[in-house]
Amino acid sequence: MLKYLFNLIVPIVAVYYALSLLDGVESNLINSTGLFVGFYLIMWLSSFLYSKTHFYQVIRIASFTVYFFKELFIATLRVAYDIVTPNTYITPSVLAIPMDAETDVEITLLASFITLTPGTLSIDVSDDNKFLYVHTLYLEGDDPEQVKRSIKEGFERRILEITRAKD
Amino acid sequence: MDLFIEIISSILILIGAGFMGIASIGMLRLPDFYIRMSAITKAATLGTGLIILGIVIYFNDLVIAGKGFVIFTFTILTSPVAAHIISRAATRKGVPFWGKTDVKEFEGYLKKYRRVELEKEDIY
Repeated sequence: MLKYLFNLIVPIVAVYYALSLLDGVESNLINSTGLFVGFYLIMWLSSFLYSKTHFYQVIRIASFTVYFFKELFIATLRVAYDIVTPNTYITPSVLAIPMDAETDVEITLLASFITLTPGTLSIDVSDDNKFLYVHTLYLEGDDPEQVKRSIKEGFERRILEITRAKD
Repeated sequence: MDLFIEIISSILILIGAGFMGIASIGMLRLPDFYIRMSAITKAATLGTGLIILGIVIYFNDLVIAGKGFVIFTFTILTSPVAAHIISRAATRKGVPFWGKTDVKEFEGYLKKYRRVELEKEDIY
């Protein structure tokens, strides 16, 4: 965890000093983003030499972020369409999703990301930490198993890949 | 270049405000408490994110970009926790589900924790 923060903070400080030391370079968004990406790429690529875990973990976190924002945008548009048009296609249900996540961090991350995706809202965790109760708006094909599978193979698999990385 | 930046940032701010406006229409139109919660918290998060992105692009400055990033991070950290706590309190307090809601897998939990009997009333 400290390694990721260190690799983020060093490029930020480096960008700040580079912009104040170089005369005639404006500190606008394009210059500073370019400098940051350059410094961060150097830090990331050199981490291949001392920590393979960090190297692959950055790829996983980045792809998870892209996947999350894609899901957020698609689902928000879907709910917005349903609100604006007169007909409603909402078929709500409360599902008990069996979790593979075990530790507190994994369960918290999974519940938060399920809540952040529109159309799903995590209500509670069962007492033995085995099930997550999720309120969903849309049942695809009237099949609860399909919704469960899409959550397990979408968010849960990606989160567990990040938290249980070994290599 | 300045005109280009202004056009892009105003488009982003308008889209964000549009999402928030649709969310507040949904507050009136959607049938029950849980559907409102799950539809609205996210539209508000995305709207805030787009408005902040528009502001960052308009000011075109490193320090303001950092501040915008921090604001968006903390919004994304806090809003699901708040939604989770509010809906959990609502289930325990006995806020009714919409008549069409399928609560088959949830009945054991409701029997255990809910203080009021489940009312199957259609309020849409």
